[in-house]
Amino acid sequence: MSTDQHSTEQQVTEIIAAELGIPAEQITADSHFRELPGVDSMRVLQIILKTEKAFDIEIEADVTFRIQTVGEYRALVRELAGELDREGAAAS
Amino acid sequence: MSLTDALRSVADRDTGRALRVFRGGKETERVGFAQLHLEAGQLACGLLERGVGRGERVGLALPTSPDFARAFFGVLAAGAVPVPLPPPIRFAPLEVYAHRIGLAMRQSRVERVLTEGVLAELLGPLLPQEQGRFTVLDVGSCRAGAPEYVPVPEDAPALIQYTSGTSSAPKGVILSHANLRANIDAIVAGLGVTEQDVSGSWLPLFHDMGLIGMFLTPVLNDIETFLQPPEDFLRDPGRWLRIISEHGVTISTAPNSGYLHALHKTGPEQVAEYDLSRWRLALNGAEAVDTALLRRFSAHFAPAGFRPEAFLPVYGLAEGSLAVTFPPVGRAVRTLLVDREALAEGTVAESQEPDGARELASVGVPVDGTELRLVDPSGAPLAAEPAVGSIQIRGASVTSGYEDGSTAGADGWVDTGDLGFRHDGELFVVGRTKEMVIVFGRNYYAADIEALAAGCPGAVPDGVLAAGIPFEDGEGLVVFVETRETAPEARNTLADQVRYAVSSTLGIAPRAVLPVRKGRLPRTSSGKLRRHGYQALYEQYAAPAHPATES
Repeated sequence: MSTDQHSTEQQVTEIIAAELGIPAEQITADSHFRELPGVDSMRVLQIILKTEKAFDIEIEADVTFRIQTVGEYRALVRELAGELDREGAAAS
Repeated sequence: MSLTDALRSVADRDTGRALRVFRGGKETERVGFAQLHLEAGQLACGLLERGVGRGERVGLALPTSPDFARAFFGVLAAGAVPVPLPPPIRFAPLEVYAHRIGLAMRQSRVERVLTEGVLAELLGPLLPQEQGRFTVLDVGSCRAGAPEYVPVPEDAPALIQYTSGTSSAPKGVILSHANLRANIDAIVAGLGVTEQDVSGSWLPLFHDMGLIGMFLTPVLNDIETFLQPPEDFLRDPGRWLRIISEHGVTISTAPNSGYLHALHKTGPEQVAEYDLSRWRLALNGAEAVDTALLRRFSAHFAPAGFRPEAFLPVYGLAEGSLAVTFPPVGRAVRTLLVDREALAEGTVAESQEPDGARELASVGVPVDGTELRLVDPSGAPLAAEPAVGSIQIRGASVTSGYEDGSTAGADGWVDTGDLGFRHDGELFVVGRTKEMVIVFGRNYYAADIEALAAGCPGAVPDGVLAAGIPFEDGEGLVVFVETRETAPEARNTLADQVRYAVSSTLGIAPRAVLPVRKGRLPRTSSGKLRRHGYQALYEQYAAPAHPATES
């Protein structure tokens, strides 16, 4: 795992943990967003908003209809932040 | 006169007023009402060419957009009936969404769904997998050249409003052109709406408050209409307040939780940038009104010129089209302190002390054309008032029935499922008998939530209780799940699965999922779960001192 990858993924996890008020250790790549405590539509939008600000990216609505886990979300952020090409994101 | 005729009258006046849609805080499209009428006719022509028949139900899966407006009026102009559908849920399986809207569509015998762009791509491959013959149509590619307007009688259906329904039988309220026009006229009269008013809203258009109150009412009265998608507001409530401030919005509506969100997310330095002095009516409905919040909001936004008397606590429901009672406009919110214990026993005792008392806001008197009465559990009108009774309504705005063929009430009186009392002729809503949980202004049937939870491995099927419990920041969903599991890990897994099932299907999060040992939830003598005393139950099982293994 490169430093960039580690820091991006860690930062995304921290954004999610802070918004939900849960320990970051509770969140894994396999965690489905919708099974984490307190995940309603408003929280989801706040997580997206904070991620967009942190990485200066724009996350379109349609992609969020297609992914379900934190791991998929982290890969999406890395892709949008230019750390991964599209194939890399799809494969992870 | 049909809604299409009403839109034509507005178009004929040709004042240049328009529907103005904002996305991401910027105005993205402006459609004059005359143009909207023309484009609705063109869409109707395209729909008729595709064989859409009179009275046919047509699904609308569209975000807040001019296309929603075109589709809504286009379907009506074709003599058909729009069925607004909710949007998909983020980070949740699309199959679950397709299944959910599929239930409503089968109930209404929908064969065609109007949608656009991304949603068309998503739904295209999914819907045909649901039972039924669903065709997905893109609004943009359906329009034909020559407008057509099919005349329909006033008593023909004009809208199917699905109130909920994910796993149990969905409930589609049928509202006729006459119902909707009566309610729109009543809203205009009750609020004293004039052409100088400006309407602005972020409320979703698949729900009555946004659709009827903040879209149909202003458009059909030739009032400038600002709309933005709900997610824009949820991300940044400043986008709502900026539209109000910069465009002189005079009427806007939100549930209690919406005002709370705006209060939380707006710092004093931002307040100073807004001019909310022209906002004459801030309707507050769809949830219990928190009087303390009204005071906090008013004080916080006073530097922007917000006036506390702009707040208007209102009461309504889909069965009554939308509006049922309004207070008189322009006066301070009328509040009443009543004794909690007396209230729990169905009596009304005014209290001088806040201790042990509940402060309630008046939601006023019935709007024009709607009658209201309070009845006891046997259905007989209350013998003496003030006392708590079930609220029943009837009148020109009230539905005659549901899509499944059931009627809404005997002798025209429709039970709202809400409880209230009258004081000095004004209604105070105190609770409800219907098994519902209200989150962010939307109703969720307890039965739906319970069925979702009961389907999780480890849950006792008839041992699930979904309860709306008051928290400091509003009503919250708590799910009690009976289980044979005793190990903490197994119980945590069950709780995760319940959260996932509820959140991915409905988009809402339980405040707590509480596993309870099988047989421990209170039951009635007939063995059914007891449907009251949720608060005490919550305190019993959520208390941190209470070890999970003993419960």
